[in-house]
Amino acid sequence: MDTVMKVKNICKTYITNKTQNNVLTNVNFDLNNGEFIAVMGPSGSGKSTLLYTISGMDRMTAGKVEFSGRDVSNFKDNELADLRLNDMGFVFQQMHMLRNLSILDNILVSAYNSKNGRTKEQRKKIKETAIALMKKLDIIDIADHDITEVSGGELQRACICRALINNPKVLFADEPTGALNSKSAKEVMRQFNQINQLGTTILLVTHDVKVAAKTNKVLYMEDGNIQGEYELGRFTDESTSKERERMLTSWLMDRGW
Amino acid sequence: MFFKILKKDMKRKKVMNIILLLFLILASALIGSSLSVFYSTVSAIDYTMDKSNVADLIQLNSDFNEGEEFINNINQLENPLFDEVIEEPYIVVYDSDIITNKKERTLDQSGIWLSNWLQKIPTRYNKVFDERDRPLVLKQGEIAIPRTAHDRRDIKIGDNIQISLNGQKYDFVVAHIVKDVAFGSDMLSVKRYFISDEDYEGIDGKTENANRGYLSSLIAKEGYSDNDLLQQITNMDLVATQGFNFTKSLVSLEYIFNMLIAGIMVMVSIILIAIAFMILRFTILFTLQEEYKEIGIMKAIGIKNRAIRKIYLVKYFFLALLGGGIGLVLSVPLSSLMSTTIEGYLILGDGRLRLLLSTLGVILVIFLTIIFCYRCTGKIRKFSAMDAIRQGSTGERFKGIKRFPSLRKTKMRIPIFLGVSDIFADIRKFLVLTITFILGTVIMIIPINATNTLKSDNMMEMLGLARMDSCIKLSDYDESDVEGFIKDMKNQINEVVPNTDFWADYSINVKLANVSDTKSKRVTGYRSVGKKASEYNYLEGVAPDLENEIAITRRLATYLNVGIGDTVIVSIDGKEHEFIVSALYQTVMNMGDGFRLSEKMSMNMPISKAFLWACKFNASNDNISDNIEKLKEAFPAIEFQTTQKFLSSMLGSILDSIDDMILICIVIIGGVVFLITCLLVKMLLTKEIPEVALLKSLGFRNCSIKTWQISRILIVLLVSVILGTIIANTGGNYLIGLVFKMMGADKVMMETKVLQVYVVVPLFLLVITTIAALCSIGQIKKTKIWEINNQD
Repeated sequence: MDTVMKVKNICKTYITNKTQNNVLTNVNFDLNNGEFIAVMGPSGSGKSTLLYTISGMDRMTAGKVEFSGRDVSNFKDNELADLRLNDMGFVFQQMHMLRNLSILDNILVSAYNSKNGRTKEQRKKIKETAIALMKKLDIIDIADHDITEVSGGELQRACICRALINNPKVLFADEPTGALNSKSAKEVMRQFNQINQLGTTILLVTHDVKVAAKTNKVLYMEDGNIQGEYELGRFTDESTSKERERMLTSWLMDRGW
Repeated sequence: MFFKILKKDMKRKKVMNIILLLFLILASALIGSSLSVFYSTVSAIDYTMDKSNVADLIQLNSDFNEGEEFINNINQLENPLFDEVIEEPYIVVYDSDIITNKKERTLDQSGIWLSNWLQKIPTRYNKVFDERDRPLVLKQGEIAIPRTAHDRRDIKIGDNIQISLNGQKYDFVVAHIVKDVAFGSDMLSVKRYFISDEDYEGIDGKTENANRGYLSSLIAKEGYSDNDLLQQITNMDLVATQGFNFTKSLVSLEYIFNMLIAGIMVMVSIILIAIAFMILRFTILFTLQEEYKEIGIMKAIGIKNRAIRKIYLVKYFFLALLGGGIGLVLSVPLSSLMSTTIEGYLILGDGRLRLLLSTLGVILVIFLTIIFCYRCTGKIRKFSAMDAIRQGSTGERFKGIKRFPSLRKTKMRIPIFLGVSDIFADIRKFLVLTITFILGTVIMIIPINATNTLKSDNMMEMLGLARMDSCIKLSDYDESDVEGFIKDMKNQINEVVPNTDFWADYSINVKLANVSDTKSKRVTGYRSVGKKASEYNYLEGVAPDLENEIAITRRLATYLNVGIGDTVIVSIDGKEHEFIVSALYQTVMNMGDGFRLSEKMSMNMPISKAFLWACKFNASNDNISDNIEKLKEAFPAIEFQTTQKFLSSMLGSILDSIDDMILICIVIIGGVVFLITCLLVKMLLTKEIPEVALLKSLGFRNCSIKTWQISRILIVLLVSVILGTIIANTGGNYLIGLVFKMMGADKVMMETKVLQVYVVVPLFLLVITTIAALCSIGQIKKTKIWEINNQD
């Protein structure tokens, strides 16, 4: 399996009130093409910081991140912006969208702003891709709705569409189901699995065992470092979810979860 | 606890609080100083006139014998409407005969015939004061000069000046710059120089009668106005009334421009206060929206609305007090700076009263600020503990969003589209900025249009004169054959600059009456030599062609109750003539009164009555300044000046005052626009940090996000400048027109300089706004994507 991302000795330190706070200490792991990894751990363990740091959303204090063979740790702001635009997608806990745009326009906005979204033909193609994604995630009916007119689950699926519009190599998700009810969360996870099966690599941060159990692999973080990893294998059938949750919970409990 | 919260707020919103404070300082300083200046100007005119004891009617006779005859004749009146008449002799001196001991900076006044004269210090009426407001006292060898000479010819106290008169030369040391309310205004082209009684007697004995005149001061009887007195003098069927006269009420009217400018500054201050209040409202609402969590929590722990409101009120009270205090201190030097011009001409009176007025103005600003803040903080009542707990969402559905046409239909670049869509979604957010930009544009364009009109060729027509390219100063020619001289001179000029018109306008001050003699008025009119009366512009009718035809101003026609085709009686060279009114025209000279005779009307044309010598170049291939240079070279003894210089000499300090006002407006508006743009961009950006983070996460570069932020501000600017330009060029021009109409114009021809109005002003605002916006969006680069979670 090709490696999309290599994370080597990542460190992240904050200094607050003259006190040094080491949030990440020498984190190492590889993200392979087509993988679906969940990062778990107690609050303050550094899960979200790891996600933001390796995706270039925040600068690391030390270490190196290779993305598709390129060292992105010293990328300039514009290079990082291009990386996020073309190769990465993001889904957050809160369903952030631009208030003045419709759901479909929110999905299109980043692609239209890219170099490949300037001409009429290019924009037409992007729109077709967006509509196909919305159909796939079953939200085509809300394409022209305001963001205040749809449910949380629908909005999060729209956020996933937006993250996928430029066909990214890796999709980063920070607690994507954290603000959803169980039914919506289940639906969102179904979509993630579907996307992953179509080839998109996903790195997801979650507190929820039910969510993590639907991924291929779980990394457990504590005190700013990865304390262990658990291979769950590909999630194919809903009927196996209970068993996967049980096994994962047992493994997590062994680590002091 | 209040002070802890306050301290935290001051620290956290440092830039916003500083900008707000600056606005309160600016508003307080301006209201304080402009009220003081307005009061000074209005009261100083009355105060100085009282102190100077200006006569009800001032009659000037530049011919000595004529003056004596005038006195004899008015003394023979059966029922005189005056109690007393005081005569003072004076000696006429030409401007060019007053020479200083240094190279002169400017000589703008030499564009027209300025009547200067030497006089003893008046003791009863039309008294004068020195630069320190003391009654004027002079020793032998000393001279007191008018303010105009100081301003225009740069003559200072201590300078030596030499006056040439009938072949004699007299040397003086400038001892004082005189405040002469009766003759000081730049609207009047008669200026008085004062010397000691001994010096005067010495010069008077050696002066020919042609250079001597009489100033008569008449005091109206109780129960009669100065205008009643003027009418009685005008009705006298005397040759002697050929001199020039004016009333006390006209003296105060001569300072109308100073009052107008002071009034405009008060208006600008009020506008600024309105803007300051809009910003205050915007800032308070923004702060409350931002702090709904804190407010909700305070409510949850049982703090009452009133107590929460007090926290905010304490802050704004403190800001208003500090701003008002600093503003009051600043208003003192600012008001002295703004009243420098008026202080040079008039006595300002009690300084304590002005300070009291400034203080009251500032206190009013502080009081209004607090009341306004109290009203704005009323929104605190609406925030509940639920808001704080549920992150501002109570579970209610939001109102629909006003959307700009879809992203899918746009051809714009995405950051610009986002800017436009922001404006469409919530125009109220940009209201303060829009109003500021519109007002800024209007406040700048109105005085620019006014000054351009005053300096333009249109002004020649509004003065009732013909358009010209150069004004010529001539002092030596054969008076007995003016027509022949003009013909000869025209030929000589045409040898240097072919196809050039050359003409003169002779002024005549006569009595005009209607046939029934129920109404009459002493009016200055013109008769041209070398140019046909038909080459001047008229509002209606046909130019006077025959010897017995006359064109009069519409204002004079209304006063005399005559129209086209009616007859008026005019006394010229001692004879009464009947004229038929053939046309009506306009002039802003002499408060709108004037007439023009046909070039066929024969009359005496002495040098002293030549009001204007002018030429117009008709060949289109050369430019005016080149032609003027050619003429200067060919005729070194003659002064050739531009039209602008002529107008500048006619309008004097009015142009300077408007130029000063434009400068003050540009500085104030530049500052206001800069501060408001900074404040608004910063406030919006603070609120939009999650959006910025979101766009960053979507791969938008910093420059794209900056384009989004700046584009909407510039779009607002563009729309506002268009609206402001329309308002200024319609409503603003209407207001300027009203002022011209007050002066006598009927048809105001505004001069709008396209480059200045449509390019320079918008460009100035664009540069200021762009710099302000660029200075305020540094936060974009610093914003981290994880700040996306700050969205509430």
